Amino acid sequence: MHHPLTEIESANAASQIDQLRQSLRSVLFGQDSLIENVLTGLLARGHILLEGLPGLGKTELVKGLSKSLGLDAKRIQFTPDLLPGDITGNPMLQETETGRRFIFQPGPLFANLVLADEINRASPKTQSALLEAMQERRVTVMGETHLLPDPFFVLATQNPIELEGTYPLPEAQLDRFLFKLEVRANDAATLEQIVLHREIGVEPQVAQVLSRENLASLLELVRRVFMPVPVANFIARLVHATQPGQPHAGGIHYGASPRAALALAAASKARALIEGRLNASYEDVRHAAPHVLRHRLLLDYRAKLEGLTPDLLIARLLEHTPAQDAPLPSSLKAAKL
Amino acid sequence: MSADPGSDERYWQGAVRGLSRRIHFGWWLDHWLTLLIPVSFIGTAVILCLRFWQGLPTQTAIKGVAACSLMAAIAAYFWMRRHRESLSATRVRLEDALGLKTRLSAAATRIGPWPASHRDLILPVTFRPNRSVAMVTIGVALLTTALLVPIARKQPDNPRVIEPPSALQEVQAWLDNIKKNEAANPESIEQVEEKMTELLQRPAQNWYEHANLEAADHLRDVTAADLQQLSQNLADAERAANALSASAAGSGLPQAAKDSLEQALQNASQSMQGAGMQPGGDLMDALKSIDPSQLSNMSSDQLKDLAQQLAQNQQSLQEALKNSPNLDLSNIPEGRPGKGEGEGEGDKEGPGKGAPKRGPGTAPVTLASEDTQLDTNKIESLKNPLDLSRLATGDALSVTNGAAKVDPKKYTGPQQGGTTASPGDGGSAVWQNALIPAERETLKRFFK
Repeated sequence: MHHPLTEIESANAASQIDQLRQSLRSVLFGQDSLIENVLTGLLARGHILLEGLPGLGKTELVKGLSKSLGLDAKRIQFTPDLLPGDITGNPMLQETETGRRFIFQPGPLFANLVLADEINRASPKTQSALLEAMQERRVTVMGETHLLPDPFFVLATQNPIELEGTYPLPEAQLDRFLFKLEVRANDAATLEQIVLHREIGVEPQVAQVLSRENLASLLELVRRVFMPVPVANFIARLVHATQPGQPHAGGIHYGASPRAALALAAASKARALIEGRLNASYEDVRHAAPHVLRHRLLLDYRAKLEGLTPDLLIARLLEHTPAQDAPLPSSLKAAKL
Repeated sequence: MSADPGSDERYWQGAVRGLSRRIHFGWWLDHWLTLLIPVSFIGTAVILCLRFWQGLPTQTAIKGVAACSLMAAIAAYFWMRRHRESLSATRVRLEDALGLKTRLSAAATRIGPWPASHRDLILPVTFRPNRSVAMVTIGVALLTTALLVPIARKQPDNPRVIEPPSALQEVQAWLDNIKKNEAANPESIEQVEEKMTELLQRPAQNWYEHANLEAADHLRDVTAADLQQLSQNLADAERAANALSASAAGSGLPQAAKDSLEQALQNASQSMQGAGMQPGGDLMDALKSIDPSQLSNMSSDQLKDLAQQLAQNQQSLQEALKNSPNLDLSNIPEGRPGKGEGEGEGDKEGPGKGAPKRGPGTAPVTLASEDTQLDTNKIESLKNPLDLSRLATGDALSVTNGAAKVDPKKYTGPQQGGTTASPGDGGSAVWQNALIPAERETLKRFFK
């Protein structure tokens, strides 16, 4: 049992996170929501799947994040011929003082921040190796287990429009991602800022605002954020409501797993810490629910024919899942405050 | 946050309790309104019935309605407890509606401080007045209608009493008076009463059927006749006894008259003993004890005593029936000597049996040498001439024997050429048009 947060701790944490947010805003224009959600996923110790068109700043976000936190960042461009060893690393035959021997040469996974670009272009075998490393936070090659650095975050991207030669991630592997975020195109004002402040081929200068230790401390504080019983009950009812057969789960073929509930709780706590609060709230759950659930719901053919999307279904579920489950008497109505 | 940390807690706990009370009141109102409509309908029906059947006063009805409403309120309270909501659940409603981000729940578990008090807190639950007002209005309207609608109290049912036929009532009155005056033998009275009971045991609605009325009238007539006969016998016996007593005392009646009086006393005694209505009390025993052969040996006192008993019974009988207009016994003659012709051979006046106008003595009988010729042995023939004015359908005027006249040569069978000389066989055409081909073509063209 963790000790609950104190107000001072939460205020300091919120201040540090705000510095990090400001730093990222200087790198990525007009994507405040994306930055907010990435920070939430980062603090919840989750991996994030980014879906969006190329050139929207995904790589810049990872680079900025690594620089702001002083973390080691690597980028892997997934291609169909990429082998698992290419990302995990391979034992290499090397000359040593004791003679020739195989020495493990770490792959690009051995970094604090890994940008797995176009993950759906890699073969299922390679995808599987990556997702196993994401889950276990270690790599086993030729019988030798190698722990991945701590912290270890993966930000994977996938292009939603080019499906030729891709290997869509199966649902079981999608479940490993805490968030699935949609990177939206910038508006004109944002583009104007980009044109004014960026130049092709010139890396933006980002100062480190938090140390690795600060990040570890923040991650620990997230765990100590208080989860009230009503909020846990709300998360449980919301996740349960995604199961087929539930009153408002029409169109859902497979619902969210218990891992989704855990992810939702962790994301809610992280968001509470970002806002400097001591406890998670219904608002945190409602905010995180679309990002946590949208890649975990498998729609049936009817929902697809009707043009329903996971986001629409999640919105419907949130609408019909009140914070307090007990109904009001018919002589009363909930006032809108 | 206010200076006093406890004040914020009290404020929010109070707000939660207030919201909880409002929610519970809402549940109670829901259940009460649910009960109100059926209670109103039932109450309306009950009030109308009570007003109709028992003339329920308005004040009592209002008290009853109030009591029923109170009972419904109590029942709604216990029903409401099934929806009891805990304070923590209500707290969730409040913090969610106010956007407090679960700070109330956290503070309630001693995580973090209570939020600052709101200056003008609006509870996130309001009443829907329309439904409540509508249902209360319906209920009140129903009950008010039941209280105010003019309705007459049902008049109590008067049981339909069917009086026994007047003949039986008359007989019953006679018997009652006779019993009261002990003017007749109780056994005789019981026999008549049994017959009355037998008639009255029949269904009352059948008492006035023709047969029952006839039976009642017959019973009255028979009873009247018995009473008249008793009265007559008493009078006869009393007269005879008085006369015999006087004779025994030395008045010196001829032997024939004495015999006639003894015979009259004996006849009257025997008639009373065998009658349907016998004298009452000790008189019957006294009459039975008289030996007809020793009648002439009875002393004057004995006869006088007997005459007194007879007169007393006669008086009791007349007293009992004095108010019976259809049974007037006062016309029965007293024991005075009549002036009519007696049946004895003497030509002196003396007592005898006879009608009041005729006087005592037997009715004169005219004797003739030839019997009355009524021509009862003559056979008369009845003629039955045919009256044509009274004939009915189907009456035969006359019957004649003979065979039908049929001309077998009249029918010659079907014939050719459209002739009508013969009506032909049954079913065959009796008229045929023969058209030449040109005419037939002309007709076809016309009808095309």
